[in-house]
Amino acid sequence: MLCVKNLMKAYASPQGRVDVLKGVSFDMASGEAVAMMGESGSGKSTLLHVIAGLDAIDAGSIDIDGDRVHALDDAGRALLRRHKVSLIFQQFNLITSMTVEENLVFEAKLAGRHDPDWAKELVDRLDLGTVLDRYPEQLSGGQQQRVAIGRSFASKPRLVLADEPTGNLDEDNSDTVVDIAFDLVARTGAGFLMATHSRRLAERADRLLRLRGGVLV
Amino acid sequence: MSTKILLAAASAFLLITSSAFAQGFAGLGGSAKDFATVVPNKPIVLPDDFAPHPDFRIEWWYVTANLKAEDGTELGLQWTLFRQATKPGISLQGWSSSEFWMGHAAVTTSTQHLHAEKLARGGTGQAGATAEPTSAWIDDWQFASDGAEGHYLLSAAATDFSYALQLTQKGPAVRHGQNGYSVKSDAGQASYYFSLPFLDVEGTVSIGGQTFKVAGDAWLDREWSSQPLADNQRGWDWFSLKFDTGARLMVFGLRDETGGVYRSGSWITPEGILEPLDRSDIALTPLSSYQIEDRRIPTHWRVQVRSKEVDLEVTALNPNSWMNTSIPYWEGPVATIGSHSARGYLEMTGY
Amino acid sequence: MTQQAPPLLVDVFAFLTHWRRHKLQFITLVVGLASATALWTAVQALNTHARASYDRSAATLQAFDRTSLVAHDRTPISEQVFADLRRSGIPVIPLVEGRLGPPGAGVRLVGIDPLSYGRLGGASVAVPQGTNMLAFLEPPGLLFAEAETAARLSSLLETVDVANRPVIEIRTTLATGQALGDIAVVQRLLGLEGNLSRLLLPDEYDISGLKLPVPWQELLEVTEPPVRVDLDGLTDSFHLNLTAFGLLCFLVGLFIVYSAIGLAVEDRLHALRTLRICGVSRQKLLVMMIMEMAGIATVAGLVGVAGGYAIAALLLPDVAASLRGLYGAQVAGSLQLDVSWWLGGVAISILGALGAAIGAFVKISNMALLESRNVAAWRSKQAKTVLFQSIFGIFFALLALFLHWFGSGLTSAFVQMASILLGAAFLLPGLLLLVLTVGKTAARGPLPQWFWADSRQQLPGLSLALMALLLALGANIGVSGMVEGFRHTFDAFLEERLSADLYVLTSSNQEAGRTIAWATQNPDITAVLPIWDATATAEGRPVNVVGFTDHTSYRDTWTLLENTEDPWTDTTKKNGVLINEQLHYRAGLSVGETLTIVSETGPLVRKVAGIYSDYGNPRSEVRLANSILETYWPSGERRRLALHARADISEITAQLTEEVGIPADRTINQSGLKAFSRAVFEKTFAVSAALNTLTLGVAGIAMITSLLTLAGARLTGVAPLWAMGVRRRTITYLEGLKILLLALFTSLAAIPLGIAISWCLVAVINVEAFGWRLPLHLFPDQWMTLVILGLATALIASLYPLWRLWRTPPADLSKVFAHEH
Repeated sequence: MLCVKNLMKAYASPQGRVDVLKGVSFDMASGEAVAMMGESGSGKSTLLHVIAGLDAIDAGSIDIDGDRVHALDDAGRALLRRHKVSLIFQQFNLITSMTVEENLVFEAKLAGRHDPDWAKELVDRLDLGTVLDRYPEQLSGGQQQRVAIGRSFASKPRLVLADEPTGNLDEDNSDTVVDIAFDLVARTGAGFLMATHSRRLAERADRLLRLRGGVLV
Repeated sequence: MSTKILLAAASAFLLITSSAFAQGFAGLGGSAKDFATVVPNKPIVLPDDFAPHPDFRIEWWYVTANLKAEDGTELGLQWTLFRQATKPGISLQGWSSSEFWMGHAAVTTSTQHLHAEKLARGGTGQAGATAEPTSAWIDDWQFASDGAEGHYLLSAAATDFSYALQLTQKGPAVRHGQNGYSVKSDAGQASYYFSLPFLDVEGTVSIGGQTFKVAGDAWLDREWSSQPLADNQRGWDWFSLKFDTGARLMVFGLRDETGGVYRSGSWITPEGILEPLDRSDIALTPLSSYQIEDRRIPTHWRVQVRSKEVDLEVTALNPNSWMNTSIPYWEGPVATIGSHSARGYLEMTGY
Repeated sequence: MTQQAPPLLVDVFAFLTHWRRHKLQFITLVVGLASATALWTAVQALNTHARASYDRSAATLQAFDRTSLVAHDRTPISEQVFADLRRSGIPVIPLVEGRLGPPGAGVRLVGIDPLSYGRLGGASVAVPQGTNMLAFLEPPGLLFAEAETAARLSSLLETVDVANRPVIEIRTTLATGQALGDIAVVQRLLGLEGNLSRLLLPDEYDISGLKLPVPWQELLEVTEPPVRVDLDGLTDSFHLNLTAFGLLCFLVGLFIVYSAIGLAVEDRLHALRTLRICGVSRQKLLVMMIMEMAGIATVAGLVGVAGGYAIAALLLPDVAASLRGLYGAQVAGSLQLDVSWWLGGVAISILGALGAAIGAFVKISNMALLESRNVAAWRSKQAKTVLFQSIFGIFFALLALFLHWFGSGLTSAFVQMASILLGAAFLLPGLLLLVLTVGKTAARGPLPQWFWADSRQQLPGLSLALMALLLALGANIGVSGMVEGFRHTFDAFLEERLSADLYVLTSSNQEAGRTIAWATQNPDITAVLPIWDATATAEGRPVNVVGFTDHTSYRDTWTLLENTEDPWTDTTKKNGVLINEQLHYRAGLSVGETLTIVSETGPLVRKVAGIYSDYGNPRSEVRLANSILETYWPSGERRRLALHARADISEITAQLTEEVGIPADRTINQSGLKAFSRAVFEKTFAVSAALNTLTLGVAGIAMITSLLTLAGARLTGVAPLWAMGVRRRTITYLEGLKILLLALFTSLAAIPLGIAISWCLVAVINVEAFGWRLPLHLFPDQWMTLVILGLATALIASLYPLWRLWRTPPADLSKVFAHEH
């Protein structure tokens, strides 16, 4: 489903050009939960960002179910994110001005794929029934991430990219969040690529990728 | 407020004389360029010379009188009209003229000295003088012939005093110096100068609402020049005395910066014959002074004319006779004791 | 915490580095303070300057406004009179006066003889201290004038040959439009050689003893100086208007400052906490903050004063023209900068800044040293803030109502208007919140829902800017409404009042008589209506008395506000009087009540038969029959005439010049008069218009600063959307739309506010200030214009922030989500 070949990405910085990705290649299949580990600054976030089309690459190719991400223009990439790829971040995932319920269905509605039954299922699975009319600021960190996951999967994306989703959570919450994510992966058949620091969490994934010095080792 | 007016009026007249203080008292020592000069051997013609002389820079009509009221109160009285020009020649009509007139009037008793001042521009008719009919006036103050030969009316009015007098000429006019050519300094400054020293007076004087009938005698001075003083002359002391014998004496001393005094005078017989007096003949000695504000003014003099055996102590009736006018000076009635008994007037400037 | 406190300078430096990073905030702060100070200073400058002019005017007038002797027919008197009167013992002071140059650009010359003041006082008022008297008196002479008049005079004298041209010296003690010189000089310049205008009598002179010498008895008469209306009192209302505007601008400016400070504080909290932790005491921190604010305020204040001076200088010609047209007050046309302005401007800037910063100071004083990772509970905070604001709003609204029922006087009227404005401002956030909530509820679809929800969340940050916009627009609509309504009413009023075809001002009563005789003979003239004037006092205040003759033109065209059944007959035949609206308000007189008028010959008691509107007249006025005027005011002016004609007006004017000897510039036809009157009002309201625009500008600045300061926080709000596949472009459009929508609602809310202001102005303030009421007119197209203006302001204000958002590189957006936050 996802095919990445020879990704090269560099940033301009005050110190000069910094090569972050120096030829990353890998594949991913649907329903696969992949964990990616690497040092801070190794390019994990960058890799996720370019796959999602948030940023452009300098060289290489990214293929998601036939969509050549690297060749898309800004509009195309936005559409990609709307319909095919969903992102979960460490923080600031949610729209603070809207309720939990509204957040949950937001992405799905954007994509035009709102399924009320599926949404209800997600609510139950994520145990968010009691907080539906609350606002993100009123939720705990763990609850917020669960909402983020719910929102992601509610739109039935092909690929879910998660950048340190448990970075701000304690161990118990982290486990819960990741469990739910894997469960939903299995149920929906979406691909799941997660960047993480935690070896413990990484080992629960189907596959482990290691990023060092801009390449996968 | 009054100081401001004073300053304003003072600056008005002072600057009109267009000279700095260095040029003699009241600028009378200032340069007389363009104006006619006083020369000897130019006879004085009466009554013509009573009229103003536009070619000359400054002149005056000066009446002083010694009077007695019914109740015996002694009074002195002054009526003066000054004319000053900034340009020679007949003055233009209206306010464009270059002539300025100033009138001073005063009444002095032993206890009071009241005075007033009037200012006028030439050319408007507000002030002036004519020869025929003989007349000199400023506003409603006047000295004028009443029609009859030798008869004049003298009047002035101010807020606190007024007078209306009839003057009768009892003797001829006299010309001072050499036929009217009166020298004032070694450098030769001179003026044309004649007097009517024989005037009988009768009339009324009002002071503060009260009116007195008065009688006495008066003296009229008429003088004109373009530069009567040398520029180093600071002021003068001038005496006019009417002796009980009927004679008249006029003496003056012009003081200069160095302390020197130019003395001169005229002795007039009761018949009206004038003898000019030589300076060596005259001695003027101040005896005691009176303090008026920050000035010391000698109000007690010794006047001597050797050739006439005159040796008098002259005392002011009221030592406070200070004329607080635009150009201030001292003028007041005096009486004498000594060789002769006389009454008269004393004028002191430049103190 | 046992660290050594770092040395002072390091603290201060660290403290001040905030501005280096946040240059925009700094600029905002300075601009806000500077504009507030500028507008305030401008108004104060205009007011002070005008008042100083009145004082000079009054002083100069005193010197010459005395009991005088004049010719019966007010023509020049032969010089000879001076000597004649003086010689008869009357200490008259001669005076020559006249106008040099064309009307409107001329100078009133006054010629005096300084020597004639003698010991009686007055010369030192007339002739300034330190004058070189010789130069004054000797040809060509001196002319004294203040600076602006001197310039005018200079060009007028160019035609005089140099030998005869007086030297102009500047004296600040003279009133504008007047020049003083020696009598001979002025006679020459005015062509009055050999003549005098009048003779003044000294104050102490007892007129009862006056006996004029024989030829002059027939020719001269005594006039008393005219009743001088106190210019200060009269123009008070005008100046109060200006001050109110100034205050409004200042407050709006302070809004900006307040928001800038608030946002700066939010940014700085972290840095300030660090300083505290490093050992800077609370007091020291507070002192540093106060000093910093004072320092910025000083700089801003100086900039503001300079700006204020420039604004005042720009507005001064219009202000001067209005004052001249409305009150006859002469105001010098150029401003002088004063040290006290600088000091005052800086002082008010500092006070304003410190006042606006009090909240921030308190917050910083009390801040906890340890930062808690407490994400702002925006909803409850918003709810609380809006609640407080709404309470304030209701309070002010109630205050306005209270004052309306129980208040009186101009101050109360202004407070009323201020309360309306403040009430509306404070109620706005609540109103907008309501609208946005409704919008969100009604929205369908994710993006619309987000749009409304996010707008609601943004509201607190934009509240102040929107309040400023509301105030500016409301004031704009209010004043424009009043001005436009006034224009309409005034036009109709002029049509009515100026029903005659030609108005003639003769130079003397005799000339008027001759003109009437001529006009009666002239077949082209259908009516000659004399209009006679006098001054009197009634009910303890000065009034103008105008006499008229009954005619259909009055009966048909005049509308009276209140009247008896037949007010015209009542007035002309039955001893009634008509009073103007001003007198009605000021003395509380209504139709049917009696009033006592003190005339020259004694009091007369009359019944009010009608009240007429008298727009633009600052004075109270009484109209009665000419016959009454003649009887009771024998020395009244009988010089004005109104002519109704059949023929062409220019023909009649020409006939008047040829046959009666009245020059064309003493006649004015209806259209000329209307144009003139309109011009005066345009000028007056030009000032208001200018201030309005400035207020709108200040509101625009408030918007920009709010938006820019919010811009940083926006990223965290929009980043999720971007991540979810909404394009930056779309996001930018939505942001722009959001601002426009908020501005639109605010602008629409400004309409009822504007109407309320308009009403307050015409029905309350105008009445208190001027004594006459205007009807309330509504102008929907004006509203539309101003709504568009409001939107435009918002759009312009948001252009830069939106552009920045558009161009945000993806990296910046990604950073939002980064780990190391």
